[in-house]
Amino acid sequence: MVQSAATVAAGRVSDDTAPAPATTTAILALAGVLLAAALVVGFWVAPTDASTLGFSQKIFYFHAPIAETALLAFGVAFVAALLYLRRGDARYDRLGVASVRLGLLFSLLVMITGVIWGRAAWGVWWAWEPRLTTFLIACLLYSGYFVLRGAVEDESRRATYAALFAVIAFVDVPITFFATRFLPEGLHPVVLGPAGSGMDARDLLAFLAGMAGMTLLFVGLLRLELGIEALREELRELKYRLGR
Amino acid sequence: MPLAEAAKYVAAAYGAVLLVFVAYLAVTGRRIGRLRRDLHALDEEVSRRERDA
Repeated sequence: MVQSAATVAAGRVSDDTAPAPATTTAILALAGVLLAAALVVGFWVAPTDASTLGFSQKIFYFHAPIAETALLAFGVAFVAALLYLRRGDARYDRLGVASVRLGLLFSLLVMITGVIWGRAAWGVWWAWEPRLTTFLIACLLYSGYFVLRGAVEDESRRATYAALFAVIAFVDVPITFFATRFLPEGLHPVVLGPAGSGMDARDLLAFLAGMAGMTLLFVGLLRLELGIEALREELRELKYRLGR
Repeated sequence: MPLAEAAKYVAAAYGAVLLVFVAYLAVTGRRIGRLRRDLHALDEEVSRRERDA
């Protein structure tokens, strides 16, 4: 008990699931470099859009990668939920919590950048078109994930209910992703379809750098969140053992 | 859309991204700070119990 408390106090979490901080820092730094590269290529190398979008198209270099990353985060939460339901390991519950939290963070950014770009491109702040509507539903569903967690006291039941909820909520994610492909009457274009992107090579380079950067940012932040969750778990156990 | 007007939207979008990430990091920093305080309190309690034992 004493050793465990001292280990935690020294910042060396004994839980072997806690990610190494140095690797997390390196991943976040690489993400920063890639995102900076996306902006440099997007703003200074890629041509300004010749269509009606004009300069406002520059929002795309972060908006689309953020959206894909949000869906990726919900996908990770889905896999973590399935693994928790199958194995009952608390590590997967922690992975699910961290993924949904980050998914909501990225979703918030998608919504903000989306409404700004929608105003610039379509002349309206909001349109009830398939992609926007299904994304909004995803945001509301995953917000409910935390409401559910807050409503259940027992840890094991909370994790099970949350995992079941994450599995059900995930149904909306592929619908959101494929909305532009199956319902082409919407305002959103298909970025990478079977016929290619149709983008200028420099545009594509900026987009791909943004995608790689946002994905790495998600991985880095996920590791950070997992470290915090592991530490919190360790603290909870220590408090219990100390009779607090 | 004129360049000057489009630039305002682009600046607003990227500014919002920056702002949200800064807010997230600030909240995360506070969460870590709270955990550190708890750790410190536990560590002191463990030391006190060791002395008393």
